[in-house]
Amino acid sequence: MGTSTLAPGPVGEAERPAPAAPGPYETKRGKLRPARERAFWPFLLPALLGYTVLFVLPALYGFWVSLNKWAGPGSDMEWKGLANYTALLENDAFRTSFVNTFVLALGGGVAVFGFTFLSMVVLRQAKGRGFIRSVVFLPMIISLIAVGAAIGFLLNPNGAVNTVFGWLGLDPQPWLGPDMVFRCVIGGLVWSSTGFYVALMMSAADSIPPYLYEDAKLIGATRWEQFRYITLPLTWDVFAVCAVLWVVNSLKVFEIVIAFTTAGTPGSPPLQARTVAVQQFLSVTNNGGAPDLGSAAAMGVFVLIVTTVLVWLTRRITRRERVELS
Amino acid sequence: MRKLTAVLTVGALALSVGACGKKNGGGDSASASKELVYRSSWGADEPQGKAIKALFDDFAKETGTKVDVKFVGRKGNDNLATEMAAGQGPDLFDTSTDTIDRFAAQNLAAPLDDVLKKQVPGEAKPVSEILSKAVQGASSTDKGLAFVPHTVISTAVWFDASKHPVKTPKSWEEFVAYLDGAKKAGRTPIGQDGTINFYNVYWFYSALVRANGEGSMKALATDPAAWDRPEVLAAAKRVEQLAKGGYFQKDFMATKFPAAQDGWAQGTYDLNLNGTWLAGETRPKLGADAKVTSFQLPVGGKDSVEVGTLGWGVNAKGHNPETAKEFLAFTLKKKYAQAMSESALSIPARDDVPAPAHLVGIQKDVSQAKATHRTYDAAAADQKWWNDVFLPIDDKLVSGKSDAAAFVKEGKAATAAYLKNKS
Repeated sequence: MGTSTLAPGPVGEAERPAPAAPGPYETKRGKLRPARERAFWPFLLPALLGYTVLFVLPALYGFWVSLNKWAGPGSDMEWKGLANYTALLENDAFRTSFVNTFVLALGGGVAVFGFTFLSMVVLRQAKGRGFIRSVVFLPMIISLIAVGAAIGFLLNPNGAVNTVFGWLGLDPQPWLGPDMVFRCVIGGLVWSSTGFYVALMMSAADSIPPYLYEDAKLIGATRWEQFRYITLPLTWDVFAVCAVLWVVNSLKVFEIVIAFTTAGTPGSPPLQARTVAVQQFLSVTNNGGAPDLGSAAAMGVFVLIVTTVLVWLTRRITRRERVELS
Repeated sequence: MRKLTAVLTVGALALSVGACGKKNGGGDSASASKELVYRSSWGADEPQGKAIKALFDDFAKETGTKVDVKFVGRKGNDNLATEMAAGQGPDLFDTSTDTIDRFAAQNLAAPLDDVLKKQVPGEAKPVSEILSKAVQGASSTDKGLAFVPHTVISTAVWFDASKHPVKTPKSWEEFVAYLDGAKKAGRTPIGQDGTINFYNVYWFYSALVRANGEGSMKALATDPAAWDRPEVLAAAKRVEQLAKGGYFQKDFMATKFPAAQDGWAQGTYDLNLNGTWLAGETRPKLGADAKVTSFQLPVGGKDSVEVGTLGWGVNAKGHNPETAKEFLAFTLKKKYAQAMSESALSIPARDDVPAPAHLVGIQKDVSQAKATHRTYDAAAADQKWWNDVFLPIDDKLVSGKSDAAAFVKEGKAATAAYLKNKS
């Protein structure tokens, strides 16, 4: 997944409002083409080489590693075929982490975009929305190390949240216990990443000409209807990109799980809270044990395949909707 | 994906070692003068860092060796194994009983049995007589001595006698009686950072291995039938007794480290089962008049004591292995062991140098032990079994979600399933 998947497709291109005048490009384009074609390889080659050496070859090497048992440079590689993959499928810890990752991607995604759409409905005309947008964005730039430290003060059994619960007459909850901590992780992730998507979607919404909303108001459209029939269709391209970004990011969620659980210690998070990336981290670092790079690489290949499928699905779903709306 | 990238980067590094990476060794220079390169995982301002700096300075002065020491801190050596494998790492590396296996697996730890025969400068004894057998064992792999230790670590039940004077319990019954007494008096007997699973497992591990000796827990990782041994159930029953007895603080499984050990330091909880570093970690909370001391979990049987070590290994692919070995014998001079004890407040590797006051008791436990075992009985060496199979099941036992019988049943089945797929 390079940037190519994120660039608006030709469909979006065609549906943009046409420029007021055709401009001089139409006539010049013919003359430019041969020069462009001549420049094609010299310009492409450095990037292509860089990409091949820095990404494609290591990726293939990673795939090769996934077929072996290997503790890292200096140790012997032992051919295992697909054994690393079959072992993963039978490993409860990996299966749990896989399910967790999906729950996080779907549950977190619904929450993130739910909040994003809500804030687009509410914030579009609100006073000081620039300020509010910055505030919502803020969690994104706070280091997760700081978040991890704060989590203890807030969510420990005798932390701030349970103290407030006590004032309200509610029972204190074991927030960071094995059974609840993953929900807290998802909550934390939604808290920290919603601002990013709000910022992206709002900047797309800002470019919608105001007269469309004035028209809508004149015919008595509610705020929700304005969002449903104006804002959403006209920001759909950006939403499609956001959805792909979310899928890609959520499948590699790692730091926030560590921040909520073992932060700062060489422990392993409880099974209930492990994502695939965490599981992979445990295989690579192995806390002083011999690293199991073959198994870690196999997890990487799994995640790559799943990411590709999900991104493709996301693109499919968002593209079909787009066609329907226009 | 990010981790995949990390894996791939390791691969890429292996392919392009010539192109990048910082060069640490200086062995290819034409001048023949001795050189020694070390990159410490301690910080330069930490007491350990300062003591180590002084040690290297002395070595340079007395032997005319050019030493190159950098203090990069805990995270500064993340890529150390990769650099070492590429032939570009330092001559000496920091390691410990529970991390040496990783270096050994990559053939990066030079065998050090010849250091045992070396004379410690200024003393009539060779290294093999200066270090106790237990300390040597904790610093070895199956191929012999793998690193030379500077510090001994162990596990015990800790209390601050200035806040909760505890009469050392001699038996499990006395221990439980103390817990009951504390509970009756309205206190919480034990503080437990339940989100740290390798602290939770101290209970089962201590109950099993202290009573049954070396190998009794390691066997659980390698042989499903070992789970059927009566001592496994007996140890699990003791943990179950603690879990069901309500001796830990409320919702301890949701307590984020280091809240419980800080609470212990402030006197909120009487006891904390932890490593020899506990008082050091909680020093700011302990208060000036704290009198920290410890006892071994009284479980009877063999009364085996945990012995782990921290020390220096020699990079098998380093440029100056002989100088490194000479240095290792040099580090065992009494004066440096004293510095480790007095300024770094840890138990020195030599047992003829007294540990700081709060560690004198456990130093005695270690040196007088009739039986000893390594950190976690080396069961954590198979980290996949440890993290994916064992610790999750142990967490259920400690938290009271399962009982001893279920623990044994589940442990046996999960270990069998794990071993079936293990390469």
